Amino acid sequence: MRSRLRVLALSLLMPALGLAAPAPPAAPASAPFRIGVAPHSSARVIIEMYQPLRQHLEQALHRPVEIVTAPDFTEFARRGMAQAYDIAITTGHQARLLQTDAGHLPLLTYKADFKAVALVLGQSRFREPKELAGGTVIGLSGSSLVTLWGQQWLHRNSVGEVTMRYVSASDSVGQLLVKGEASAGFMSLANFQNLAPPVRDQLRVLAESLPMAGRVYLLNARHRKEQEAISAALWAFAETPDAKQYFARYKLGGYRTLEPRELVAMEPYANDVRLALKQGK
Amino acid sequence: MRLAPWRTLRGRLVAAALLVELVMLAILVGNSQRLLRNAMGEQARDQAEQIAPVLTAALVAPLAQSDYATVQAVLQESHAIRGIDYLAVTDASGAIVAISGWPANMPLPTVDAAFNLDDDDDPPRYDLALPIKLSAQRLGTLQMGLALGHIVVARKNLLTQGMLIAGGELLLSVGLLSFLGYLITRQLTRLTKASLAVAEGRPVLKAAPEGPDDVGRLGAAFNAMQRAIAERVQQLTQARDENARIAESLRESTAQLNAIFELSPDGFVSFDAKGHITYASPAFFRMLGWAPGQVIGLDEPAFSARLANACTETAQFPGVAGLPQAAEAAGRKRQLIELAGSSKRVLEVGLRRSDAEAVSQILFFRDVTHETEVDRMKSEFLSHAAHELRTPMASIAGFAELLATRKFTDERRQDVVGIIRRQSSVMVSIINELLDLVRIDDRRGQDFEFTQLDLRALVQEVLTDFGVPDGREPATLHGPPTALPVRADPQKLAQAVRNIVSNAYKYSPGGGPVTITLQREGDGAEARAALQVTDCGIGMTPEQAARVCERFYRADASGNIPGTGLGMAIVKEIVTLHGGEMGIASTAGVGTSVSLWLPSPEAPAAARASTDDGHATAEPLATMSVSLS
Repeated sequence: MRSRLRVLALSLLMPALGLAAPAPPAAPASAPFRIGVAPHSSARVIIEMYQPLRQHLEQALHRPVEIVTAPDFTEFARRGMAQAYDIAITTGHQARLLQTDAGHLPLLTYKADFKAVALVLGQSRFREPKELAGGTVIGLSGSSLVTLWGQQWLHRNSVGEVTMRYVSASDSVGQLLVKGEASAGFMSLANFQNLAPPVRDQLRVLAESLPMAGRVYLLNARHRKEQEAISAALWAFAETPDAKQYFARYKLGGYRTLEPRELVAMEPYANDVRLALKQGK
Repeated sequence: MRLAPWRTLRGRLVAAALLVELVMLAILVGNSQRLLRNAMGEQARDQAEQIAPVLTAALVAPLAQSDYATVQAVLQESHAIRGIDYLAVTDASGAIVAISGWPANMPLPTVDAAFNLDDDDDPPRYDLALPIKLSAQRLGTLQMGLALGHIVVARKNLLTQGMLIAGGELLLSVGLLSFLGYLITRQLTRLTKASLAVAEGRPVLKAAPEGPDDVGRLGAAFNAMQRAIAERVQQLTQARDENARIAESLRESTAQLNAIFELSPDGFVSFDAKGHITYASPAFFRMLGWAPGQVIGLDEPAFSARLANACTETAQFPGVAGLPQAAEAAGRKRQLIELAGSSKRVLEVGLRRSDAEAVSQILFFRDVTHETEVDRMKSEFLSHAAHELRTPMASIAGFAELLATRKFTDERRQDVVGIIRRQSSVMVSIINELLDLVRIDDRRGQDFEFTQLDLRALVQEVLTDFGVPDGREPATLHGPPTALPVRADPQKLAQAVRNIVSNAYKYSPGGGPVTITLQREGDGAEARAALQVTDCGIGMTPEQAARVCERFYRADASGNIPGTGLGMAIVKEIVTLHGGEMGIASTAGVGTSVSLWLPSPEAPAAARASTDDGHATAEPLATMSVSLS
């Protein structure tokens, strides 16, 4: 516990001192501005979802902007740690990791609360967490916030001998649950709400987390000088009709500033990711 | 005549059909190639269009996730699809992130702007690049190469097989078309042979086949034509033969006319419708002594003037136009003209007009010089005969009148009667000689009875019978003692000898010997018997000697020497009819020598050996001054 506190303290101080991470290499001027989005959904959904933002930033920054993602959260974290993104949009725990370990600069987050939910088939017998024991539970990735929350939720509810199965997208989680290939699955509440109605209507929320830092926008430290401009562009985007439609469509509510404590609270989950990265998972 | 195949209708039809077929086959094969190329190209493009979305869809997520291993796996899986030569994916910056089927250390091929089966790629390949987009974001580029080798192979196979099939089809077509052409043109060949036979005039033994189809109708038309040609040929042959016959007849007629004109003593000059001379017969030129170039082509006035100039003043040519009037004025149908010059030829000229276009008028010329002379001589003869007969007749009539009106003594009456008797004898002699001469003239020797005789014996007989005038010596005969054979009428030849001997005595009133010499001259066929009677009489001048044989001509103009003036004329006629010659040598006041030469058959060798005066041969009697042959 003590060591965790030291790590947390260092994480909070190092950004201030500018020593938390080595100086990121400057990207070539002609290289596109890469916005890495954590694979909270399928790559196609992610690409489509962030197109209004990409187009806005291209106009604002006068340079090409591309949306990229990663096969899974762990890989996303690894790439983020490798300074692969100019802006990283990821859940709070990875944002905390990138903030502390990769020197990224938190910019903003969505107004909508980010919650993780444990889903079961609506007509299933599962009413209590313990009933999931001995079954298979599906998570997005071992490094995803919802999966980490779900694993901790299973742990807190003393659900033992659960077989974890990881898939790449929350859509797949819903599909597998409908097919009965798992007892329960974890995804964000927003993703659950964005599932296709035929799938979503067959699912039932067994448990729901407290609001957590959801998708946080972090700026690569190599764009520190442009932080204000980029931040301004993001805020300007929020005022555009496309952004409003985007926020409404995905029930994100708009942008808001991020409270420092929100990322600090993600430190335990960030540590799990850090550990996973070390283990090469 | 056998034509080369390409020059025959059949050959050309086959060639034309094959050409068309070749063109159509070429179009067919070419179009098949084009369709195959288009179809397979379209198929390749469709394949690309079908593969591309799938690949793009498969590559979107890994590209968006930068999951290049997955991208590589997708490419490797897709590369297994038949027809894809290589696959490569570049990211948005153009960097190759995955590649399959192409060496990683080699630059990617240049993308083809359009599908082209015949570009320079080896093996042939269609290089295309497709953007991998999601929404408006370009995630990368998928470049692939579609293998076109199978299209090229298919096209080559199609071309090879198409050409083989086309070649086989052409061979079959050649055979079939040749056979069909043979079926179609064999009748034409027969027609051709038959036409050549007709053209060469050979009979067509077998008629062309007839039938309801085109060739059959052609054969029927040919047969009809052949029959018509045969009929025309027969007509033409007949016409040709008729023309040949007419031409031959015309040629013969022309030859006859030419011969007639050539041989005719009469001359002809023909004028054409324009009055120009187009023809003159050879006799005309002989009469006038002109050349054809001086006459042919002359017009009527020029010819008239030329002919008038050639005439004497007394018998002038009045001109062609004035010829009828002149003849009518002279009371004759034809006009007589006399040519100037030495010939003094007298021509009778007649004119015959014609309505023919080629000959408008013909002048007719006849040489009547002889007839005119004969007429003159007849007139003169009659005048002389009348004169000669009138003299004794006047004596007879006068003395008969005296006897009737006066009384004479017996003596005187006897004298008068004697005179009448002598004049009657003279007149009888004249009449007899006239009759002899007329008979000789009329019969021209046809009444002569030629026989082989001895001239010497004949002369001897004449001398024996001849009554030598009182006081004169008998004529002496000289010559070989052998027979001198001649072929002659003994009576006529004796008459001739008698006349000569009689003249010798009459024209030598002063006396003198009369000598007769016989001898043989020449040998063989040229041998002649010569008789020469010589006197020493009054002789004759050359002019008299030249006319001594004229009828009723007498060298004695005094009238003291009796005679009819016909004796020498009779001698000359007899000698001439015997094929002999006569010559007179005379000198006035000296004497005359008359010689006769008669053909003499071969005489015995002894006869030629010697003469009575001992000379082997006598001098030939060729020294006569006047020859009357």
